Amino acid sequence: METRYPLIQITGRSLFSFLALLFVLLLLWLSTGYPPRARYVPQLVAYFTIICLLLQVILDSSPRLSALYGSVERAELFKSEPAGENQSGDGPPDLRQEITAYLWLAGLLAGLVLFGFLISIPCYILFYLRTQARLPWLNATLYGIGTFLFTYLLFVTLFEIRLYPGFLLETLLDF
Amino acid sequence: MFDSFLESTGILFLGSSLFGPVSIPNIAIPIIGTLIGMFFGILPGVSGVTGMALLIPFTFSWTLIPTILLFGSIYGGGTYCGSITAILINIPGTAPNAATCLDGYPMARMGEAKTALGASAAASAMGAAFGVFVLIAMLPVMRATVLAFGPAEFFMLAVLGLTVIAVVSEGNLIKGMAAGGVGLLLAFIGRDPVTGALRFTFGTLYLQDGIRLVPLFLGMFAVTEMINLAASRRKTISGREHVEELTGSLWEGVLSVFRYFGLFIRSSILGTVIGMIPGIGGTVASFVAYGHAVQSTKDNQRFGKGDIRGVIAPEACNDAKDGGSLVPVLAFGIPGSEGAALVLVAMLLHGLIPGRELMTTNLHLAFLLIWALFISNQLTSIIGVMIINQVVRFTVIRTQLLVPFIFILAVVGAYAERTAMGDVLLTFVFGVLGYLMKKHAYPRVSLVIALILGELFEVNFRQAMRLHEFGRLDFFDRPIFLGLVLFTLLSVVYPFYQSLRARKGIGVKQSPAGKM
Repeated sequence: METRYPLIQITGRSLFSFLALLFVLLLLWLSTGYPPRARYVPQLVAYFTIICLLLQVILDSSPRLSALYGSVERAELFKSEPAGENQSGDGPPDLRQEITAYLWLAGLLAGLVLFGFLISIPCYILFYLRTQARLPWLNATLYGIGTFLFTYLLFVTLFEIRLYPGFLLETLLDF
Repeated sequence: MFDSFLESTGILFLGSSLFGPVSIPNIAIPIIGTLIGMFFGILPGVSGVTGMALLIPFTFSWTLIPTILLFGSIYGGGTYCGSITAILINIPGTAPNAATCLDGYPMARMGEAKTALGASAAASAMGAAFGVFVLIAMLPVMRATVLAFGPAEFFMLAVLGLTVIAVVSEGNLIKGMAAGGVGLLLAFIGRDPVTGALRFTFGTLYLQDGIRLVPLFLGMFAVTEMINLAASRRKTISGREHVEELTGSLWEGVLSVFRYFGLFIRSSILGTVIGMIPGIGGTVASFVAYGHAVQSTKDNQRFGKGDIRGVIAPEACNDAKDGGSLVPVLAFGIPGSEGAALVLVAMLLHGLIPGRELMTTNLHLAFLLIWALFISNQLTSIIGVMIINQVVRFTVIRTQLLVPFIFILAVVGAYAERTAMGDVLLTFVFGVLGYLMKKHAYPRVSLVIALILGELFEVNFRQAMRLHEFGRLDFFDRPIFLGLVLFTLLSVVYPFYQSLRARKGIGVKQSPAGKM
């Protein structure tokens, strides 16, 4: 029996395509203020991209149309995963783990901006390994110290790069 | 040309100062690069491309020669190692090794793991050598072609490069073109190269220089892969907990390549030719070779159940493709894959422009890259076979142990280029964007290729149009331009034709290893 797909269904995928469309529309609108010779090529590309994204938004939001077009691939999400038997325990990503990954990334960025590289890096390694990899405190601390030494010796001593000290430390030093 | 070859050979035995006053022989750099490429190549989900992206910042203080040697050898080093995991645990280290799973893994299950590994090592090493010799043979042709190019040809070449998007987005054509369009628009950020007007900078000083390639690559290829690993349900990188004991005969595997020498040669030719066409890449190449092996063999019932020819054909093809894939990079600066794009970026960051300059005054540097590729392709097979038992243990590294270190390397690396926190932020932005693209099946490589080709596309288009306006350029008077137009049209129409055939079910088989 033929599968009947719903006409409209808003998914994360259609939302992503829609956000991309908004971004390109924003760029197109910005380009209207540039000199004619500077905006010609970007506008040409923007119109083309908008058509593609519009089509994609429609296809992503309508499984029925998508099925007609022939692109309803349920297993499309993680095509780059290896072939063969599924022995890796992969499936669709766990939403909780995905959010956790984003939060850790955001935490690292916040730490770098506030406390700088030399404080944030060992702390990040320590807490990540302790909470996510569930290493004992001692091992996690040793990895943290090791990473600090690696960063300091390689980038500060050898490459002579001044690593960002962080907003808080910079403010304190200004006083 | 022979002088340049001799010069590059001589350079291999000189020394380079990498960090401070300590100098190491240049010949040691490809060895180091091979080991790095092997390490990343063997980790499923992480490829040599991730390794190359992470290493870019370490080479900022280096001169051009060690940088070329390092990147050329990592590019070649990761290719063979992916087949080790493909054969032993049915998980290809990189997507192009997926075809090797089809017969390699059944061989391992039948107790012939070492035989399959021997065949794969020999086919890889010899296939790579074949690709490199063809690349060298192509150099005089490339040189003559590049010198005949003007703005119109370069513009058409950029357009041809952009049509690669249609090929790499197989099955996702609209998404591929949309990603390419966004990539081009991102390439226009910053100062307009002709009028000097600021475009899409959102009033910030940071974006006036345009999008930097280092944060782009670190974000798209290192951070993205780590978010993907962290969000996956895998406990270890391969999903396996233990490594099994290996049986079979390595030597028998090596000899089998000579037993099926005709198949090896045909697969190598296929790989080299496919490699030269930007965008098709190793995954398609190895599946085409596998398909050819099945079709051209009379007794093909054993394919898929552990036939050694099913290991030889994709491995020879996949490694031969590396040499071919450098043809468009060296001659025109058109990368056809992520790996080739990173080799190109490493050259650009050190001031080496591919094309006319590289093919004339700096030809010895092109030879140096070829040397690095050749050395690493041979070494990776030899070392790989020698340390299979040790190497395969990397696949059981716990995911959560690897992720934070790669994150740290990526952010420090992004910062180190210009000591700008904006670069760190951009790395995060591209990391998240890359992950969302991967999740929603938008090909990342389309965006990257378009971003790299953006300037070549726009500048040459405008120059050609100006010359045409002044009556100094007649498009119909330029055979190379017309040839490129024809080739571009073909490369645009072909994917449509292919997807139409696939929809009608006329035997176009989608490769099981996916895309980026």
